[in-house]
Amino acid sequence: MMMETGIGILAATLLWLALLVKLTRRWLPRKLLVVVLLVGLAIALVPFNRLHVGGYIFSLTSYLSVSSVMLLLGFLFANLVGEHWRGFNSLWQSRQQWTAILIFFAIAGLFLYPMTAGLTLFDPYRLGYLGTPLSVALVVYLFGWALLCVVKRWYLLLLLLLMSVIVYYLKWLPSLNLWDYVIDPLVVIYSIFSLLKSGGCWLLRREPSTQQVS
Amino acid sequence: MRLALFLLVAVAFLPLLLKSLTESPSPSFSLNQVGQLVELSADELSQEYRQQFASSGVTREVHSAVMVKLGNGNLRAFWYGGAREGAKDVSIYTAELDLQSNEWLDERVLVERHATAQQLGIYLRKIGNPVTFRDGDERLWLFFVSVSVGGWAGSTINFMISDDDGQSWTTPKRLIASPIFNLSTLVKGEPFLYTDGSIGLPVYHEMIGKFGELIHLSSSGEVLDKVRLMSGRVSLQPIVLPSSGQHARIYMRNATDAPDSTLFETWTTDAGENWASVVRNDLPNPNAAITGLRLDDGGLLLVINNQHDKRNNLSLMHSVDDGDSWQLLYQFEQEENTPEFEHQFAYPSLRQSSDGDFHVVYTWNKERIKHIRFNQRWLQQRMEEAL
Repeated sequence: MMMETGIGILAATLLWLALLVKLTRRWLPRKLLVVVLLVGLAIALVPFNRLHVGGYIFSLTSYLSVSSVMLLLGFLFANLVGEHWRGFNSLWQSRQQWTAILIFFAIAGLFLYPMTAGLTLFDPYRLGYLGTPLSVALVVYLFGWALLCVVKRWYLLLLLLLMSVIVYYLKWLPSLNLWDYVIDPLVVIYSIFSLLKSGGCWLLRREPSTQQVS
Repeated sequence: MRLALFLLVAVAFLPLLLKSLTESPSPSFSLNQVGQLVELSADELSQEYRQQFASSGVTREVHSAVMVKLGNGNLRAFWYGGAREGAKDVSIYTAELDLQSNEWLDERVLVERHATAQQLGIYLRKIGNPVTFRDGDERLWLFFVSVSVGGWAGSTINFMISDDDGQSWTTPKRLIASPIFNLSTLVKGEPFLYTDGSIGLPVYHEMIGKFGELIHLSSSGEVLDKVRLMSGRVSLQPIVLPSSGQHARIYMRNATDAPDSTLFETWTTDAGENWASVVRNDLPNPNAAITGLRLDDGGLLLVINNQHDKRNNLSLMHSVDDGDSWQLLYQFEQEENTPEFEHQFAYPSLRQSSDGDFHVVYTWNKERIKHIRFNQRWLQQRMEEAL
């Protein structure tokens, strides 16, 4: 098995552990989440029909982006030991940070995926190879967001962008396409659903007050 | 602090900006796969046309055969076989054609689902189309599709390389060619070389949209670029036929099943930097794969199902005017379908061997891979008759 495949399977295993923690954290005290993590890790180490859990997930997801891996690591950290790290906690739980992250991934995903599926002759995925004159638009988009992050102090999104670019330079994934390092369908789907959920909640909260006014 | 962050962002993004602003011109097409026509004297050769099966029938169904020239002058074929298309027992088979005896030898399984899944570290549901070619360093490349979940639309391309004419192979690697879970990139058209040693791989997309694409690979198999040839849901399986370093034509299968469906075509005059808008060709296409070969006199050969529906006809077509008009040279197959049985002569592959003979392999009723071999004298006779 290639080293890159190992990286892909490790990232998929991270997704497995994060899903376990996400599904159980409502019912379990924080201290027991460590046990959940250890059990999940033990299950991930046992091969089922010659393949580990991470291998099965990797078969479905292919390589997760650097952003997704960072967010998964952040999620596990926040849920397991985050309470002891105030600085991290305030950053991770900042509503403003998350709104910026969700909007960034939703815009990028809505731009990339429908056209990639064949909606137009223009293929935005091609921009990620940085070989066509239009590629500069992708770089400027990311650069613009990074600058905005500095201005607005959205350090979480800034970290995701910088890490994606650094791992792209290091070529840790078997892809020369910048998009593959920055986003993947999982983080985009998560972002769109979270924004829709927030939008829905905002509308529901707004409705009674509108009635009162009328 | 903020100034330091601004500087960090600038330093991080500057190389990306420079790279995206630096234009790298497309390398020229290599003409190493162009068919060679030599001067024949009147009594030099007799016409030769031979046919046989390349597969021995060890599997119930076979499909999607392709060929590559070996260092010893022989040809090696690859196809997939199993209980049926998409079945779990489908493997990729290979056999070598001895040019002297005209016998197919050493038929064996090359890519088996379980072993390949283990090598790739993933779950594999099925294995499909292979394509092959020989690079400038005399290495054989085998690309093949595999599916982990769903149908063929969920395919991913894998590749293996052989330094010894197919006796041993590297472990398979996956190409990352799609941003949506790396799904829906398939192969059928044969790869080709650029003069700088990089590789052109015609591919197609089948999930939601159906369209042909062209992948540019480095000589070590990294995807450098991917060009979409068409949008929508109508084209599949492009084949690329270069005629010079800058010129090439692409023909594509029509995926519409329309009663008047014809092939699609496009062309480039700048080594693929730009492709013309895709147009419909006059040649009929019953939603079926095609193959072709550019000849060194500028002519084009295509092997197609020469009708708008059904695959019970397989014909050799020739063009002397770069595809503007076509003449039927020969019908390799023409059978009547009955309510009980529908003939399938499909997925052809056309190659020239080192002795100058031409070879076609194709799926014969899904039961066998059929091999047709003809020499240049036979081809020229057909061309003269067609004029």
